[in-house]
Amino acid sequence: MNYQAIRAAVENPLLTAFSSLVPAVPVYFDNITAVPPNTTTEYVRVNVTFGITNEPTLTSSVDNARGAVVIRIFTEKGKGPARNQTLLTTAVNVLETINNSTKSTSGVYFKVGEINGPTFSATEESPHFVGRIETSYVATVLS
Amino acid sequence: MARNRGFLNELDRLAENIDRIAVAAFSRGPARAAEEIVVDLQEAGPVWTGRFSNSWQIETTDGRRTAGSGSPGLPQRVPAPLLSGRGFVFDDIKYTISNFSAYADEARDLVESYYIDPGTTPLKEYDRGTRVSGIRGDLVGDDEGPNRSTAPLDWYATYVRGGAIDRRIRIELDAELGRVRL
Repeated sequence: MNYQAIRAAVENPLLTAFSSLVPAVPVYFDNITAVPPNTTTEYVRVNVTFGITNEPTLTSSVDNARGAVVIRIFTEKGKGPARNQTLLTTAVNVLETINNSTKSTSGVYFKVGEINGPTFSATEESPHFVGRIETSYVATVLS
Repeated sequence: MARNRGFLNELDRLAENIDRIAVAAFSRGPARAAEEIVVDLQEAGPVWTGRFSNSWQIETTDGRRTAGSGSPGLPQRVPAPLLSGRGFVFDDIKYTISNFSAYADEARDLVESYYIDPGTTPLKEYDRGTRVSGIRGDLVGDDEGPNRSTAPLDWYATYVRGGAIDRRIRIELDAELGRVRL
């Protein structure tokens, strides 16, 4: 099992997509400190979690993992949802592109399930408006 | 038309028979699965005072509901309401599990909020760190920092979307059906 390869299969395309926006939007992954609280800087937080490893019923191969991907978009509060939704669209497009990829003989075959959300939230204390989507995934390590 | 009505009456009688005979045997499987899912959620989720853990509820599609006490203390098991025969046969979704705590969304890392550490010792082991955003479990730091968390970030999404629920129901159903003599 190669957890890092599974993580990279979804993190790299997201990082590439948000980095190529103008202006680029920083993406922070698990255990990476994001911008300090109380700034209005927009950013993206991606959390990849693992639920089940090597469930034998998925396929005859045991190099499988299931889990969840949670993507949160932080944009400036009080400016309406448009910017947040634009960035959410970028994230959804990446997930859909991943799903359109075909299975090869090496690497990681990564498929996401239905995308739940977006849901939005904002609190008085935080300077951010937060959009959130989540999805399940099934990943197979092929080599 | 008359034949259709007769057929419907037959179905109705079948449902009544199922209500009478099969429910007790078969519906314990999904009921136990629902109870075990709540136990899993209590174990996976945050437990500070225990109010959130004791606020899970299990509902059937016809409105029967059992719930935790919502009180502080160690997490208590929630018995699931038994299904009706009709519910067992006809309902795709047999149980809905939810949490009625006022801060359920914050506890499940679904929304941002503002947190005040009460200074008390939580009922569950905790990790320390520095909270990055307003999301409860969004802590960084190698178990050092001013903030505490009793469940990892996105514990709920991992449980619900990561496949654990499907596996649990299958295991419980298999075990229950294995004991029934047909």
